[in-house]
Amino acid sequence: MVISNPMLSLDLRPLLAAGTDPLQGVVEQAGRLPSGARLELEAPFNPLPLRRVLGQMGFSSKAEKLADGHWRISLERDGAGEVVNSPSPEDCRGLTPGAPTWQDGQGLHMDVRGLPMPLPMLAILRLVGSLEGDQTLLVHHDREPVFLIPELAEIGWSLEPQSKGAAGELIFLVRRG
Amino acid sequence: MLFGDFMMGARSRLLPMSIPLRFFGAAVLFHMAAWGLLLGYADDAPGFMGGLSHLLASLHFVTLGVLAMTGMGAAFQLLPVATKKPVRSEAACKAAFWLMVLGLLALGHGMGHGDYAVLALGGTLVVLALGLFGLLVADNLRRVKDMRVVTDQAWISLGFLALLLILAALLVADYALGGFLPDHQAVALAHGVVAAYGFMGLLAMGFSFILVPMFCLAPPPDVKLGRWAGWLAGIAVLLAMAGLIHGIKPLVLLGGLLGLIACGLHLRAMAKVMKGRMRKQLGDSFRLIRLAWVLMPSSIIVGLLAALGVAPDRTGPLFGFLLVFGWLLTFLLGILQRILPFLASMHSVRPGVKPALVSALTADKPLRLHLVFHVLALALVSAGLVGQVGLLVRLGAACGLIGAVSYALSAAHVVYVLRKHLSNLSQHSEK
Repeated sequence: MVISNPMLSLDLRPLLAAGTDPLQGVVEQAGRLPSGARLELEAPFNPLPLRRVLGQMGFSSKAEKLADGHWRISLERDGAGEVVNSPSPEDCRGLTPGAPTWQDGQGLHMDVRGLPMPLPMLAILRLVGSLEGDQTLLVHHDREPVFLIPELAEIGWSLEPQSKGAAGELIFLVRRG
Repeated sequence: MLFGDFMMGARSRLLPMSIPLRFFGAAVLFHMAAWGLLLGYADDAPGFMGGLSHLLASLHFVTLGVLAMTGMGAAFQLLPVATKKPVRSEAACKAAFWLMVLGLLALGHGMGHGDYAVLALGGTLVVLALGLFGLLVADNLRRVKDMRVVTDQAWISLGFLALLLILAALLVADYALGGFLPDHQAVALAHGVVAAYGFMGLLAMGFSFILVPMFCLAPPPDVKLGRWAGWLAGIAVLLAMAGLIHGIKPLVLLGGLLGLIACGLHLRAMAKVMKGRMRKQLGDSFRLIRLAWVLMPSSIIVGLLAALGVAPDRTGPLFGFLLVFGWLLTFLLGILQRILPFLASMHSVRPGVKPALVSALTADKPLRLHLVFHVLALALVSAGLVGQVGLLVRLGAACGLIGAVSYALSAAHVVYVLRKHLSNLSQHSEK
């Protein structure tokens, strides 16, 4: 997919730096774009959940890392909704491929949707094992992780449901205690 | 999102603990009964080639009472969680349980005492129980679009369940109606192969693809290897069955060889899982599972020797023992001792409270005792069957019974700790 001359360009970095979740605003503006239109986003990380939401609206996307803390996401409303991953150490943090992590105002996130069992559990336990102090993790899942709860309890962690996202997405907070 | 909403979603797929627990509890009791019967009739074991007897009842207490019973409980509980599709009816699960227990008790009595009427009644109830189980699992599987390895092997296993029920019904009818089968023993042997390798073996292989990576925290197994193993095993069982029924030895041997290849593919997939695992200390449960993986091809090799006519009065009984008490029972006891505390912990989850820990629910000492006595039992009974020494079989069966009692104590520990945990929670919430 070759994308040039975006019709709409949005820099999400100031919003995210101010602790504002840009997802709703981007979705609203993208929804007004006609078929074939292009959209370019600047973000401090690869926003895979946002790309998946836009993918359901018919936007194909490709992510490109320009510098540390600076990503460019190029999207085209071609109806395919293809999310082309750009694997990089930053994207996956060297943990589980297909389970991207990112940091925002809410804290550290991990998206394990679509992974076959037991990879979500494996990815979460691996990441949790690398967290320090009071760090928490927001997990984006596509099912209630009933098998994970005993494993987390065993290492002194717990899991709390937070909210339901788009298209069956479930968000859980994983924290110590 | 409230925790209650979350658990409602999960619980729509997670059956009440009492349902899987009744299956597992019955399996623990039949485990003791099977070793007990072998202990009581150990002198008949060397040279045993089938026929109505207490030994046949003991064998069926393992295959139906322990293996099928646990398979039913685990399938009703874990398959819906893995497939994200709930079981259609809790009442049907309970009905399958009672039909199975009553049927198996009657079947055991009929086999042990040569009572054809009770045998027919027991056989009918067991056929109904397993038929109901097959329908419930098939209903769940047909709604699944992914997980091809697990669903492939489960479908093949269900196909063999139907076949084994037909063969079992023929055998019982043959006893009850006075012998219309031209070769009862050949059909009985084919029934045993279909039941052990076809139905239970493929069920065990399918469950391994979910449970082994989950328990040792490893990436999912190689899908291609798993599917090849499943289909090859299916063809192998069909060939062996046809060869046994029609008395065509080359077909039996071909089936055995294909079975060995299927077994190799399955073990290769499992070895890859073990290599990539995150949890390094796997404990006694995986000692049993590893032993079962060794016994799996061993049983086929001994079976091939028996089919080739190498000391059939020694290799024949050893084949049956290694297959049922060796591979299948050992594998299942390894898996069950992990499932029980894990499920209990899952069922103890309440909002804002730490669930009962798996480590607290696991009774290490009784399980270690079971491991030691189970391995001793396998070694002694095998030696007794090869050497045709009844005393060794008796000693081995005594070890098996001690191991089975230890295992039952560990299961009772799980129930005790869970009940205590839930009781503390309810007292806490009342305050």
